[in-house]
Amino acid sequence: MNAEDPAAAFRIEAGELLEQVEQGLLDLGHSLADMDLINAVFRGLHTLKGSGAMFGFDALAAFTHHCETAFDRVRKGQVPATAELVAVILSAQDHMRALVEGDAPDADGEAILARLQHALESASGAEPPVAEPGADRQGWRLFFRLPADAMANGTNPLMLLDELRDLGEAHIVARTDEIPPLPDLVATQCHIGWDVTLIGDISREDIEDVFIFVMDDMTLELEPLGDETSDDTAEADSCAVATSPVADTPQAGAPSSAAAASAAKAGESVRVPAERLDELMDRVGELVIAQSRLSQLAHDGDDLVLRSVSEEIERLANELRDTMMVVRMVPVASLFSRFRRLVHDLANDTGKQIALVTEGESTEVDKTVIERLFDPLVHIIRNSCDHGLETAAERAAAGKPETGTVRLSAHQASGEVLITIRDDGRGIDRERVRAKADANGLIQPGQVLSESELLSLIFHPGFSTAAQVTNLSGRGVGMDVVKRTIESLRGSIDVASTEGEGSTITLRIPLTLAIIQGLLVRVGNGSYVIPLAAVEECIELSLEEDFRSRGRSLINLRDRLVPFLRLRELFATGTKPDTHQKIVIVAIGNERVGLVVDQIIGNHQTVIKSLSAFHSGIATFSGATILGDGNVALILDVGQLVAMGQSVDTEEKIHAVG
Amino acid sequence: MADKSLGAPCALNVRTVSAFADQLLADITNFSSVELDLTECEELDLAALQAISAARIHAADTGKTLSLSQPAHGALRSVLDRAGFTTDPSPADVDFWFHGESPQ
Repeated sequence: MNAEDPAAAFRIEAGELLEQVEQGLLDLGHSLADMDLINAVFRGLHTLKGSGAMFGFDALAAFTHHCETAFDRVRKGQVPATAELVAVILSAQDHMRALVEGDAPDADGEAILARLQHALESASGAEPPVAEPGADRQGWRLFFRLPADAMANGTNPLMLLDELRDLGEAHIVARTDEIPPLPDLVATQCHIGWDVTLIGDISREDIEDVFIFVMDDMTLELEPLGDETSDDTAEADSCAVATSPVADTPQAGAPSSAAAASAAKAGESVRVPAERLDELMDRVGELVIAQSRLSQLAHDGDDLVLRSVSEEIERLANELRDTMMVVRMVPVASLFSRFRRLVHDLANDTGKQIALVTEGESTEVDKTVIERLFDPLVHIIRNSCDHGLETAAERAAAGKPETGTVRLSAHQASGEVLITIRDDGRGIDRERVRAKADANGLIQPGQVLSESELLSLIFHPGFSTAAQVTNLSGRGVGMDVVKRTIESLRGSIDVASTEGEGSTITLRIPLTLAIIQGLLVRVGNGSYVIPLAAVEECIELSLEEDFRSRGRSLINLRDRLVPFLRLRELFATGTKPDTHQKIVIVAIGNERVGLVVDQIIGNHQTVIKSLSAFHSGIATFSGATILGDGNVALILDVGQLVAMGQSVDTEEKIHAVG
Repeated sequence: MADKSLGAPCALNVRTVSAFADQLLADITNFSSVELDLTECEELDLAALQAISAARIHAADTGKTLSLSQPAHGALRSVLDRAGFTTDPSPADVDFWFHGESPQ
């Protein structure tokens, strides 16, 4: 994003506002009388309209105005919030998104406004607006003059006047006495003031809300209407025009509490384009590599001063790296909240009763990871809702609550974040999976498959057990894409399922894609990095034991047989094994594998560099890094190696049985 | 019959008003009477009303005549209403904007 491009900045702001409005509407759907939610939705729409007009999104501002007006009536108690009204505003909100992107068909907007009108009329019928014919008339008399540069900055005074009219009965008179003669006029500056008499049950905050974006520099004189408002309107009107209102409560320079709050909020955070953070991360990465080289030089020599400076730089570089990592972290709440609407829509589309429960929203993950997790999670949640959960009748027949639950949770565990999607539906039908795999030729007829192998077939390209292709899922294009995406994040995906009780899909994702703590090892003449988070322990492999275990790559680790891979052989180094080889035990979930290396060199701050497209097909490595001496070390893909080790293990077990 | 007739662009708003104001000033300077033709103007905003009001003041100050070719209607009328120009207008305003016909 170009920092100078206000439209792009507005699109981001609008996205966040629409997100807030959506969350408010979804919550409101469950408790229609919650005034806090009603006010929150109103404020969101109000801000969206104001900002939209300011940045030249006039169609958006005009459309949002109708929705805001509807919610204004709700918050004033003129009409009750109804499920229909909430549903219409939700669909209106989709149209607003399209308007922000500039690709909204006019017909859609008109249809939504017609539905909005109908919803308002129905709501009015349900509980007619409170009419107070005999009540005393209340209201305000105000004079305001906008900052001279208001129009040039995108404020449309006519819309502010329209908003005042929306508050109640309005009598608006333009004051043109300060317009200069044409030769002295700066045509884009605003020299017109307005005398306004507003009649109705209107709070000061309502009026201040109208001016929320210009409040700081404008002139606003506001006084409540006195007893004279009970006289006829004409008298009140002439009074407003003829007299120059006394500035009883001048507001210029005294921002309202709402404006002050928003100003305070603005001061708490700074919006930075993600690509700048990426650049900064790259620089930190380069710094860590340079520091690593300096550290090696300092330790190779005898210069104590150089060593001291090097250690100081190492400390600072580490702190900078840690700070940088934290800056990039965002709570998964921003990701999870986007699924509430999805589940809401899926429930409507399928006619099922579905509740989404989220846990661990405060768990923080690298921003890039969050963005790339969205699509896979959409696939998984859709599958859960469409295939997994049963209809209310089926659930009742099975003795389950009629409302199915999709539980989305996140927590951190040893350098990884685990995201779990659990449903309490019917579970994966293993017979159907097997039959489908048979039919597609994915397995041999009668082939013996372990539980995990059978379930992992659902990640095979083109695999789907859905009898019918719906618009939700069942196209067989989902789960393999999910698996590939997760693996591209250096993560893994596990599935567990109990028939009749539901399925659980667990995603293990690294906290960051940029820098990891690694264990630097030597195999032959090459250096390799094993992500430290996956390392459980290191044990020695004596020559005798190595010899004894030839042709049977299993080691007895505390009475458990753990398969191991000789990296020297796997990488075909052509070198002889060291006398004191080591086995590094790595684990992914419950699966363990030993990796035989020649030497363990030690911890290494690993700045991950992607492999070139030419090398990206090599599954054993997930990336590369530059060492302190300038050499390159490849980073082992532990997930792939564990899978490889497990398959060797299975073969050997089968071999042993045979 | 005015000495000069000046048409306004289709969109006369804060983005286009400066050029229009410059032209209007030049015409008032060069001619004794100028007639504004806003019939082609489909989109106006407050900046347009303000420029025309400033031109009225300048024309009065310099003894020139500024008028509208037609009484305000359509987009112009709508903007005048929204901007509060038609609430309790002075006789001079009624003459200028509506050729003497009361806007109410």
